[in-house]
Amino acid sequence: MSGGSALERRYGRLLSCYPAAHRRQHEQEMLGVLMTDARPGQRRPGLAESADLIWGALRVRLRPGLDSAADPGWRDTLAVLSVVLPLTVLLVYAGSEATAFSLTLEPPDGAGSLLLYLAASLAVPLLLTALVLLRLRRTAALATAGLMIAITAASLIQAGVIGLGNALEAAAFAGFVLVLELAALLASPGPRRGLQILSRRYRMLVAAVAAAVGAATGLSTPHPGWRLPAAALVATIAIGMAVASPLSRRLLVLLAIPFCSTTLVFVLSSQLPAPVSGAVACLPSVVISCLVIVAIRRSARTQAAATAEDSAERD
Amino acid sequence: MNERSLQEPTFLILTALAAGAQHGYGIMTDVAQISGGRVRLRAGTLYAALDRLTAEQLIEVDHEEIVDTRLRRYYRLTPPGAQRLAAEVERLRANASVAARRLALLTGTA
Repeated sequence: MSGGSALERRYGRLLSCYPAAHRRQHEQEMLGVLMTDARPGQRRPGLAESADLIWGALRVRLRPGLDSAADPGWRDTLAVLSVVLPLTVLLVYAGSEATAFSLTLEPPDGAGSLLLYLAASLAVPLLLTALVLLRLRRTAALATAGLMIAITAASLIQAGVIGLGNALEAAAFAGFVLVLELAALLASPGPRRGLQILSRRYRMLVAAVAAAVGAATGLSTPHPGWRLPAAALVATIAIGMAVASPLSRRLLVLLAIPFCSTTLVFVLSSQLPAPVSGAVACLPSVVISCLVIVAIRRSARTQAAATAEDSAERD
Repeated sequence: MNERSLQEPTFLILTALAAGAQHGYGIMTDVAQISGGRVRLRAGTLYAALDRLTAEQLIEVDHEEIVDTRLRRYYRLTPPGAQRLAAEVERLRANASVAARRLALLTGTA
């Protein structure tokens, strides 16, 4: 019987890939099917069977609306994204700019160029962050659309001033980040709902720690071009970590779009980064992403508990 | 009604349940039998499908029982599920008859 219980334990480990809501509903049932289907004396799940369970878990996780309590669906994910996207970009850029400036104590390529650079990298996320925190959905959407056009035009002019690589990065940023932000603002209930989901307590915690980490990002990313590759890697790692809440997983998939796309543009258009400094550059942003995940998970859990209580009362 | 065609595993699961309520393992063996052993559903695929079909209200839980300390949940086809399966059968039948007619013409002229 020890063979059977070892097999059951191993199946149990594979089933832990499924979302909690799905496990509550189906785990015992699936274990029953798996054990009935097992060969006599089988001690380990087969390779194809394991792959099928993992693939099944992935499909269940990627399906919207599985658990209405912990998983408010894509519209709510986009609402959170409309807040988190400008905030993340602002913190990473602000940290990077502030530290680079304090280290050199002079503008990188003369005052005029610095002004252009700050206009492209800091003012935009700052403005958008302010608008979403003020819950001004329509104004934020209009501003995003306007900025998209302005930055693309400006980066074309900039190409002659700060070099093609950085200009392309700015244009790619405008293309991918702002398009996503616009989509998030238009297709979701907006930042009001996003801020509601990111419950107040954890929002403060994330903001405080992310501000500190954002500054540290600058220390490890002396070259402005490092920032987006760093953020891209972060997003990718974070997706792997975000297994508990469908909302955080979706959010990170969406966050990875602009960062990965911009990185691709940057890597293709400029020198390839050295792996070691690249890895160091990523660390601070990893922490930011983790904090966001923890915050959203906790918020989702609180909501799930509240909804469970509600439905228990109804029953 | 312009619904997407059902994928084969989904079609076979609904077909299995058209005969009456069945539990997960029962559906697995029935699907293998219906397809002549060609389609063998594994637990991951089966439960991803059952979960989706339940969410789409094409199937629902009929009853549960405990056999040898293990939970068995029986699923049954809902009226919309039966309609969906019937529509799919009609679509496949129409396609098949056109194909058969054309093949007959082809072999007739060859």
